[in-house]
Amino acid sequence: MMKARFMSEVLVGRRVGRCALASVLMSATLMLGIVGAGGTAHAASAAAVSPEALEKGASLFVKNCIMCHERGMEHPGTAALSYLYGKGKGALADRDNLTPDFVRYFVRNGRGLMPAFRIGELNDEELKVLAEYLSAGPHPATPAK
Amino acid sequence: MESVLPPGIKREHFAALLADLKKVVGREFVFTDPQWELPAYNDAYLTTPAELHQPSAAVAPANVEELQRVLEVARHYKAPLWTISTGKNFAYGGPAPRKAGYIVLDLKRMNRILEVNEKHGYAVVEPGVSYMDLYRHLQKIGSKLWVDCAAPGWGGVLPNMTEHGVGYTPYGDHVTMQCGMEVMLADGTLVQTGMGALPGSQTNHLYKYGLGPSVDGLFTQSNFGVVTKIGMWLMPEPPGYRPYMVTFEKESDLHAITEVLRPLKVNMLIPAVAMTVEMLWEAAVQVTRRDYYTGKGPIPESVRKKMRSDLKIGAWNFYGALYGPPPMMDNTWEVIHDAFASIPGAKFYFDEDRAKDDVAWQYRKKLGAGIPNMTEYNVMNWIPNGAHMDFSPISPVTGADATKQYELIRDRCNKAGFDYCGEFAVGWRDMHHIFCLTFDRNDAKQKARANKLFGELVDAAAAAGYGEYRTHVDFMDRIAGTYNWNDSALLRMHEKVKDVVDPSGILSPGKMGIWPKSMRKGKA
Ligand SMILES: Cc1cc2nc3c(=O)[nH]c(=O)nc-3n(C[C@H](O)[C@H](O)[C@H](O)COP(=O)(O)OP(=O)(O)OC[C@H]3O[C@@H](n4cnc5c(N)ncnc54)[C@H](O)[C@@H]3O)c2cc1C
Ligand code: HEC
Repeated sequence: MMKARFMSEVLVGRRVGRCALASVLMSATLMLGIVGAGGTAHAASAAAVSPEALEKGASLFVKNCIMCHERGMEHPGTAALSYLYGKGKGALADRDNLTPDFVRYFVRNGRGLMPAFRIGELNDEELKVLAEYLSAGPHPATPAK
Repeated sequence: MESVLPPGIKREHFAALLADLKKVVGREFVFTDPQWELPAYNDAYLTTPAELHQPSAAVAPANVEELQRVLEVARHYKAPLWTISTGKNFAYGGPAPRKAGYIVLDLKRMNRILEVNEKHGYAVVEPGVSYMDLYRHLQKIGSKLWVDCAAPGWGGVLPNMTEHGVGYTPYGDHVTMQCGMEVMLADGTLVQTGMGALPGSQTNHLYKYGLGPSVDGLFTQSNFGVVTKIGMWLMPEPPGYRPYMVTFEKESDLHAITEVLRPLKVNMLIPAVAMTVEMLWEAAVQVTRRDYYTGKGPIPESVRKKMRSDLKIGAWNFYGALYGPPPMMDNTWEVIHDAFASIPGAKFYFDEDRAKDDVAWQYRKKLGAGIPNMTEYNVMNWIPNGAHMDFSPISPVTGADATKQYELIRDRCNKAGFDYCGEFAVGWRDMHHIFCLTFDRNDAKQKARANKLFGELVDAAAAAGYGEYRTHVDFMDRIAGTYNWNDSALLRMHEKVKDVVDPSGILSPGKMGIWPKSMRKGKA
């Protein structure tokens, strides 16, 4: 695990261009056994997640993430991901290729300017629900701020 | 990252300590896993190796009773704790402890909003309440009170105040607006300061000073206690809010801008913490460096000129706001407008003059009305893998000082291969000069250069008579060392207090250069 984490940090860091990044993310995520941004779309099937869980996930997303990941370049997460993946592709709620493990990994480890989240502020159970919600995307009607 | 032990504690004692902590807060709130639990307790924006700040564990009590027992355990084992509340102190170290092995005392779970007093305009909050939390709560209850937030809306009302933080409304000087404090000493004693010391006090959050010495300041930027509650004055929504922006064409205009604004500020025509912002800050929140320039070193003037015209910004950009009934705002504006119009090339903007998708304008507009957001984190998107540390000296509000500080930083910064990205936050009689030193967090050489530059800036500023208002964990000793008048009398006094209020040395050893007796020799 440790080695993989190191790889992902180092590799993801070397952003030469978008293509290079995609392939790098791919290898890093494959090593980790998780598929996300650069990988093929493997979204968890929405059917597996109950509507209540989706609703809870959405509210956790609003509470913890939307201030950086809401649509619009004024949000630093959306801006950073648009620089990486292309204009208009920066909002997490619009993604159809996030997986629970991928989300969990980034939330607990951070990347770029996104610092990791502590269990005291977002516990594992909440993170699970939140990750399932994002993986069941896209969510065209994500609640606004 | 490998597990580490608290300094001076053997492995078997550490295991017993953790077991005792778990008895207090429950298993699920003692964190030790270096893969999944502890990375979030380090600083994402370090220029030094992460190992130097790797905690051994973290513990998150739910209330003052649990906190009291956590302190008891820490005293028993003489284990160093590092207090954080919302834990978002990024640019100054985030949640990371001063040294490896400390146990982070995470107060995020103590997040109750205990009172909102609409009549007198204040709120009473616990440590874990973020600006966003308080803002959403006020919205929910239909309050007409404003929050005054730091630029990052996820920061905490209480810990930002204890760090002497600033916001952007007329209530922007947070220490001034705090009234009433509850603090737990290292021995577990809970103290109410000020009027709160009187049982059944009717004025705890209305009058700051109580009777006798006013001690609240002892617990800010300090390690003399754990603050568990504060009252914070909130501004009633004014009858009108009209933010404005004035742009200036030339780099050398900083001198004139500062001279013009001093009387406006001192006479309170500009009531809020106003900002004089350099153009790269304005650019960084909305475009990237590579959009304009891929060369190394300082961005050439021809390119800077294009940025200014594309983004409708000046070399310097002044942000302020009018608050009050419209006739009052109209009158005040006349004075402000005429004063700044004396500077050739000044251009004036109100909301209707700026585009809806003008990222820089829109977030300043929110901040001036205390609407929490995270847009300013965009400054780090300036370069890939951007991270930053803030160098923040205090300047007099004079053209000569502002220019001197600007040049002092700009020249050293350019020489070290970084962009000057900075702003002056104008307070009552001073300016907080914030230089946002942005570096690539995955480039070890650049990080080393940034670290070196920061140290040089500390020394050069001190030699010119300028000191910093707060700092990153890596520079606490160095900066505390510049406040050394009369053979470091102030630091020696702090140490005396520390030895009395925290004889076991458990609370945040090394915070702002204050070490407990047991660790004084080893300070780095
Ligand atoms: C892009 C950017 C912009 C920024 N803009 C601003 C700004 O406009 N204004 C501003 O003020 N700052 C600013 N900052 C700095 C910082 O992010 C904020 O000040 C933030 O509010 C601090 O984090 P926090 O509130 O979560 O405090 P925490 O991280 O919880 O605490 C900060 C420190 O306070 C002390 N402390 C915490 N809790 C307690 C307690 N209960 N008792 C005693 N001591 C305690 C500890 O030493 C701790 O390390 C900015 C940072 C960045 C990256
Ligand atoms: C401080 C702003 C901020 C907050 C708050 C934040 N993020 Fe991020 N996030 C970012 C940034 C910036 C990036 C891009 C990182 C980079 O440049 O590599 C990112 C990237 C991500 C990614 C990687 C996407 C990809 O495909 O590359 C995921 C997943 C993610 N965030 C999830 C979350 C979740 C879930 C939350 C809430 C719990 C959250 N973020 C909160 C700023 C933030």
